[in-house]
Amino acid sequence: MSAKVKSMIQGVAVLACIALVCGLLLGAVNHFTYVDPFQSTLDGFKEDSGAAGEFEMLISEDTPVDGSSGIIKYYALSTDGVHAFLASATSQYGEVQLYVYIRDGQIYKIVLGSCTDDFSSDLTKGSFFEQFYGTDLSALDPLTADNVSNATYSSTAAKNAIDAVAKYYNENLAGGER
Amino acid sequence: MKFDKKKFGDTLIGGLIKNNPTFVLVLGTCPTIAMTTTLFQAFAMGMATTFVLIFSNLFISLLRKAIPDKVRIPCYIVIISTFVIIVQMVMQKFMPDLYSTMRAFIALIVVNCIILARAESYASCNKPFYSMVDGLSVGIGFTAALCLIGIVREFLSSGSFAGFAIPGFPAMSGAGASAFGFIVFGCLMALFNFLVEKVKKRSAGKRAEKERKADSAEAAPEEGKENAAPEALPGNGKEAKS
Repeated sequence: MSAKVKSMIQGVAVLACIALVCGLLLGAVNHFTYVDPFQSTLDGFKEDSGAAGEFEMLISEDTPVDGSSGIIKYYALSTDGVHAFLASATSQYGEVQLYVYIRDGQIYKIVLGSCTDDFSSDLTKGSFFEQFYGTDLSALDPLTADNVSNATYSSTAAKNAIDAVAKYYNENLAGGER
Repeated sequence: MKFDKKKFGDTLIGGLIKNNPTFVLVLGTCPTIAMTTTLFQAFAMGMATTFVLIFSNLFISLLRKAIPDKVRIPCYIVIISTFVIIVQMVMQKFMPDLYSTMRAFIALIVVNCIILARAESYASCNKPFYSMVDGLSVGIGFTAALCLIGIVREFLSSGSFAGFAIPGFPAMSGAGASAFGFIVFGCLMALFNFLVEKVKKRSAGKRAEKERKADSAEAAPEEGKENAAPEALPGNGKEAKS
């Protein structure tokens, strides 16, 4: 075996060993820091909604909504009739996740979950979410520039997420199927 | 292991002033501009980088004899990225709000020039203890610089300090922009280097004066001896008598 091949094998072996040790270390840390998305979403629903009843998770995987660019990631229904959604949508500025809470066919609370870009201040500082509160969901379907004020490029993703929730609710839940 | 007090002191102070990564070496400019809009973000970024610096320096130093020269950079990157992922995991678990705003820049610590530079220039040729001290020192230097910039930028852009509004100081529109960040960065860098130079000159002047005094103190008795010597010579007295 030539010296060149030997040094190559040595290099690969050392790199592999280091990668293995690092992987084990990460596995150990992950054991203590893992955040279960299902449980954390359920906790988020309980904390934000103010619902007295227990939530039952009915959707726990990405569900596209026909005619909307938003996605329903989680949907839960509480025993006292609160519909809780975690919806996500993307725009050119990144992804936005919103917790949307509905009671008696009306949105009563929206909480910003996460966004990949630095435009959360646009959504939380102003009264962007408050304009949807108390509005009948059938009036928000479809969600256009006419029924959204203060819509900026950065809030496009948030608008799409709310649109997905409104469409999903009107198509699947509003008719009393559930 | 023999403890070298001078090396320890030099390493500890070096990263703060002489080799300050932000104001002297001008490394890690991307997080410096992006993460200094508020003091809290700047501090969090600095602490995350310090953690990665300390532990990556330690591991690279421990493995410096085992890592072949040809694959040293991939090895460094694997080690550094491991600690960056650990920071990400911990932040995601315990500080999710902060993590969501800093996510992109935390991930970019992997390719931060400061960490790679310290790994290559210091940790790969020094003992683990000193490498850790170097990581700590450079990390604190970086954190201090970020916090300084963060204080100024937050004060100007939001009229607040660490999130608390200061009455009577209105927010300056546009002060939070990156371009303004560069201006603040440049001004603070100039001020830092000016002060360091001034201190250096003053200490050099003091040292020179001390040396001059010491020289003159050494020279004085010799001169005294030279002057006193002819009188003390036995022959002189005789000559004088004669």
